[in-house]
Amino acid sequence: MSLSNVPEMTEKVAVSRAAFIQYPFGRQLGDVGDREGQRKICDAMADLLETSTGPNTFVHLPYEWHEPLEKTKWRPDIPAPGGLRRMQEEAEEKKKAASK
Amino acid sequence: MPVAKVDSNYYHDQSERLAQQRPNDPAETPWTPMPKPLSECKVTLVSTAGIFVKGDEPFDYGREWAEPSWGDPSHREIPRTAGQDDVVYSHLHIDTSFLTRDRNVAWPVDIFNDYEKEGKIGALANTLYSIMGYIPNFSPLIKRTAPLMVESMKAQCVDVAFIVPV
Repeated sequence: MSLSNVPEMTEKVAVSRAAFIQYPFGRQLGDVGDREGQRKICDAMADLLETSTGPNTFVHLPYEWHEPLEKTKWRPDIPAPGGLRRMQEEAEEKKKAASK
Repeated sequence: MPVAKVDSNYYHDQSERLAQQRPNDPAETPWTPMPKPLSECKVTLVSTAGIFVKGDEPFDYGREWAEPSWGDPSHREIPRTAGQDDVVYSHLHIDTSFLTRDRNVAWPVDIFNDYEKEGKIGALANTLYSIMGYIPNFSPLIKRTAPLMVESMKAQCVDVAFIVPV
């Protein structure tokens, strides 16, 4: 039984049961200290587990994150290695373009 | 406003990755019916947050920094008795500070302990599991790590795994 905030990806990887939630990466069950809200998502997963009757059972949970998108943090303060390398490469390209 | 359909690109534009992803044939999705009511099942948890017990071998981020297209495909086993501060939440691609403050944002050990006390689940298994979810080459995950995790779960008579990716 899985949870996911990227339904299209999950549907492509042979997951038999999944609940989808539009919550940010790293807080897919709810925000810090919101035990009631976190439990609501776990309850929904448990319900789906008990009621699903066949593979590819997917449910979109209706819950909306409490912060607007632009104020919702999920990325780390220090970019991951791949992201950092891409940023460096883009900076190099800009530098080269500017020097032409 | 209730969400009618979860948008895969809402927090991060995944369209390029989604276009590259080879779809599974839905007809081949595995299916295991529930063997008994959840209230009688032994349950485990699986996270992708790169969680490991302090003092255990960390996930290999040194190699990821050297080769950013590589991610550690191994897993770690975490005793259910490990507390909030007994583990490291180490995934480099997400802000783990929220998990550090309250693990139940994506690692619901306390909630499943409550489930056990209330009889909603039969029992929480002694061992819980984490991988680190950035694994561009997932072949070792499928061929080596997943079978090891399954073997461990079977040895503990686990009936159900709840997977909470981050």
